[in-house]
Amino acid sequence: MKPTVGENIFQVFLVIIISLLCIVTIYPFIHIASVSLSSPSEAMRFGFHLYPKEIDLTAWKQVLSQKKIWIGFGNSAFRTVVGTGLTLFVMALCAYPLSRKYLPHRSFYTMIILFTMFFGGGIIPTYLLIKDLYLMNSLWVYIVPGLIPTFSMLVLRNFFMSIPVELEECSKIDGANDIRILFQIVLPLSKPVLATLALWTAVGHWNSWFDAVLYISDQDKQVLQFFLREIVITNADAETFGRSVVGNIKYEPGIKAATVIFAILPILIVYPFLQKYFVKGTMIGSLKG
Amino acid sequence: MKHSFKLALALLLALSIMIAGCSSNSNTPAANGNSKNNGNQSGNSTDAEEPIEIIISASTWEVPEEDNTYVQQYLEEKFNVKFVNLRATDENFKIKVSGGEIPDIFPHNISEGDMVNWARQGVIASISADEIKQYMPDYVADVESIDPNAWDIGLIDGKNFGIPRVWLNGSTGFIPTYNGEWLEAVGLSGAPATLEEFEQMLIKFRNEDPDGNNEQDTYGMTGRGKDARAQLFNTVYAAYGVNPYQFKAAEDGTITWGGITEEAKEATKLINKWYMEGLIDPEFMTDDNSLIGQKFNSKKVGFIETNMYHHLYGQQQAFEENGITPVYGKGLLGPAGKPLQMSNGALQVPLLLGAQVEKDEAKRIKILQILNELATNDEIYLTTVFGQEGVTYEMKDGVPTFLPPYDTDGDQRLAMGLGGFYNPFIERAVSTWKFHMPQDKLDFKQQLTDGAEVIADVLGPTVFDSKAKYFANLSALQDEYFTKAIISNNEVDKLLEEFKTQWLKAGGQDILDEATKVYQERQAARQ
Amino acid sequence: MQNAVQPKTKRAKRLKLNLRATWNEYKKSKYLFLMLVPTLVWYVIFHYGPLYGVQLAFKEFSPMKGIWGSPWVGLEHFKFLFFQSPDFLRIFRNTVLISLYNIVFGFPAPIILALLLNELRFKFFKRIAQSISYIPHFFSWVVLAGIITVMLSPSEGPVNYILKMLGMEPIYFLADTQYFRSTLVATGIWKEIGWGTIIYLAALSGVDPTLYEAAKIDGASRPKQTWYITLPSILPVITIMFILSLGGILNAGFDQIFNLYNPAVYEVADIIDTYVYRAGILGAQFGLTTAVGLFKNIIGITLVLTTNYIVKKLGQEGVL
Repeated sequence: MKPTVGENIFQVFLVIIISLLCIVTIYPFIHIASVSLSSPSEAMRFGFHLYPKEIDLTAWKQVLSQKKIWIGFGNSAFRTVVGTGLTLFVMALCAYPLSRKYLPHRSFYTMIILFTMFFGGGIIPTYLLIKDLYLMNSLWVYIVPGLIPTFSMLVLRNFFMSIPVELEECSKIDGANDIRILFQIVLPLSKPVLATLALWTAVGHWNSWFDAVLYISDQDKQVLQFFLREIVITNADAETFGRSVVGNIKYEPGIKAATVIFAILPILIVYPFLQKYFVKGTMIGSLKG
Repeated sequence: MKHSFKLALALLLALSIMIAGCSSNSNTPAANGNSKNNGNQSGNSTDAEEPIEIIISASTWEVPEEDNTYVQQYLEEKFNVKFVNLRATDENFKIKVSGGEIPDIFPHNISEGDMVNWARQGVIASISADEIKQYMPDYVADVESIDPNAWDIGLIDGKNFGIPRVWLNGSTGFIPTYNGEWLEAVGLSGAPATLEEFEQMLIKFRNEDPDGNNEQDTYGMTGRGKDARAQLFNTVYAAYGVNPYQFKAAEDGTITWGGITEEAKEATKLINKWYMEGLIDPEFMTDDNSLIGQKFNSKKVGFIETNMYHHLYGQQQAFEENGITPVYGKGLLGPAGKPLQMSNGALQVPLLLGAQVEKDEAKRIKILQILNELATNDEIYLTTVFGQEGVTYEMKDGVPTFLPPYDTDGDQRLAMGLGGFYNPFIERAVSTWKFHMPQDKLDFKQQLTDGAEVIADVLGPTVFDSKAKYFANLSALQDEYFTKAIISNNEVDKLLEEFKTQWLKAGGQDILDEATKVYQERQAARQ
Repeated sequence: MQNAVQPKTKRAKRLKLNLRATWNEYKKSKYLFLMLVPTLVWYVIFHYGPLYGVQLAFKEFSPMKGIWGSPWVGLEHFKFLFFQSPDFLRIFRNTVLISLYNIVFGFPAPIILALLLNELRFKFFKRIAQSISYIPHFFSWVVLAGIITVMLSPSEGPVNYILKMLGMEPIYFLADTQYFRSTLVATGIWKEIGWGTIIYLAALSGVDPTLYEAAKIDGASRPKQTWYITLPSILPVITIMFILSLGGILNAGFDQIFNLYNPAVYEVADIIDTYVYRAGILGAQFGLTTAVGLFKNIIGITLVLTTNYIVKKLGQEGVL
């Protein structure tokens, strides 16, 4: 059927609206990126920055020559990679039994876990626990206390529940136990949802900073977002960063911009590779949950 | 479902009690990490005295990453002690204390409110003034020569807490600083001397394109609205003889609060007028010191008022690099009848010691002795602050100067253990101040501060009950109302009246009564 | 006598049988438990372990005495909160208001975008648009706050540049009590609108195409098709999402507000979570903040249970 004139107009209208939205979404990042590459006077100019006019790499040089930026990068990368890997593994161990209808007292165990979503003990007892477990000032404090994100675990459980039981029963007859079934049959079937949860967890790890504030005092164990906050939000670092180290504070807007871009680059690089998984996975996960 | 829920609850309760029992054992208020070091000591020869162990956390800003730095080893050997480094940040130090990790020597930047809370909770040691005088004679003499009332600050419920501290630079004023090129560009011969001249300058800086880029993108001034609110438009308030965030002695001998005075209201009206005329950078309310510095250096504003002489001394090079010739002014002549500048005052919150020190006499005496030397002994001061002569610094005309890379690389200094972590008295004692004052700095100080009259808080960081109780909330209330008034549409009178009523009602009256009592007692004691 | 004894032994026997049956069940799923138990231990340590701290809500916390040794003060903290402190009403009002604005404006936004995307014919363009719109979701509020501050700055930001072009006065969105909440809502939508469409697009792709064919034959216009076919088809998903968002009404978004607010807008921006941070971590008032936290938890769990009940009543699978 040939589209009518009205429909064509409507399509044009749609394209315009959605293009506008895309511009609004993407422009701020372009703006910040070009500010980070601009000379100080250009960086402070009122108006739009679509591309760097007077290219000046000083801000980037300063950011990249800062030791703590790389320390933060390393620690964030560590918690993201190791934390995500461990979380996926442990989450599967927890979600699979809870998804099997024949697990005795299943709802009881589920209740135990659900309850924790709503009640917590507060800052001080958690702090004491972390201290007693010798997690203070240790990189493991980024990973262990948040090892199982309960909501994600429930999404995974729901996905496992949707896998037809017949598949397992066949292998059970072949003598496989539950652990083998999980790793050889169920998990390979769950790739899209696992990819989604990996993405959620990884993004969460890369972006978090609050645990670092509370539990880490050594600068060499801090994460990138912590330094980013110092530089971008609280300006706590201006003294050492802009002024005394380089002797000039006028590069601050550029330095802030470069730091922001530095922090989001890794996500932007990984993003296209994971995209095809997470759209599919989120649909499956969220519709069930 | 219901059944299993009950079961779950019961099991959980049982488990949580078990776990709680475990962790409560380790909850005793002793600092951890002691056991690790005990091993080393047993090997020491028996005739030597066992080194006393001191848990130190004197700075949350300059924290060495490694143990056994140069300074730590030097001090340990010198005094036969063993340091346990408790590393904390500003944000997590209080949680550490609440979790029972209490250092022997506290960070130097504790607020007076926290001091009172900790004194009441028994977290910090009370030490008699006599004992401090006995073991820290040189330091006490230094402090009392600056302000004999330094002991007032640590006096809580009749007992002395901590070791009094003064900040030698603190008694100088904030220096109004102008962009010299801009002044010239708009045809002004020098720094404004009166409030009227200042207003003219603001108008010209805004409207006459002082940076010559043909755009109206400059402001006369911005203000420190995000933090340290006492500095917000302090030059203007000082011209009215008041600072809204300081206690002020009224003519009848009582104490009043700057923020509720007529003077503060009148000054705010003028600022509000300027704001309405577009002379003030509207971003002032979220500007902090670094943003203000940034705006001044990149020529967005032509006036800065958040620096004292020593800040400005350190910024001369930056100004030069940015092509700014700073013109330093004095206080503005206004309704107060004489030029005044706002100052922080010299008194500071004392250096606090952990409660465990109160019970351990040997340790207490040792700490006091060390602190005395740290502050006043030339050799020890130089070593802890500047390091090793010929390696990290050299003496030039009696003043130490860092050698490269230590002059620019803060990390290198920290790796040596230099700075505030082991020495909480940097620039805090007259005896050792000379090391920070080369001739040109002395000249600079004289040029900027000579003949300047300052206004400071008559009470300093003194703490009393009602202040500890209400002050934080009242400050927040004041931040809000003053910001609102400054950006209001000619509603300063109404808003600040409302503020005054609310302030008095929400505990302010109690504060004034108590402040007056404290003040009058001190006046009486002085005579 | 005999009659009385008999049921007793019978019951004992049955109990024994039951225990045996349970034991067998457990034995059968021993591998499942091999996996489950370590994770349960983790839950008990890290989630149930600190629960004893809830008592602080009724105690005056003293670091020297520890949590167990601190003196009881009964309902003092709650009394202070509800009746004395001027803060509580404000933070509660702000929390609920900001959440409500988020629901009223933020909730329909991704639905509308999903409907628009669904109508789009150019598949390639659609894919690109989707990819772009998801991007802000992945960045932390620390990063976004840094960017937003620049975008909205009255002296250098492009938004105010546009206002100036249009001959308007600059607006300081982040420091003006009149605009701050709107700014929160707008930036929240900006961050999540694209990501939010995923679930609706999934639901839309599940709509039976024959329905549209039939409608076209009947001569129904596009808007009519949307109204009578598309919307009703995704209504169940919308309902669930809506109820879920009601359940989270006391979470107004700590990360976003914490990184964007400043003293000039505390009056309209201070929420429960930011207050707890300032009073607890910065002010060390742990008794008070535990009380606030407990209050929030109880309201929160009530809301979740209620909404879950409603979802089930509506014939959907509940969240719990």
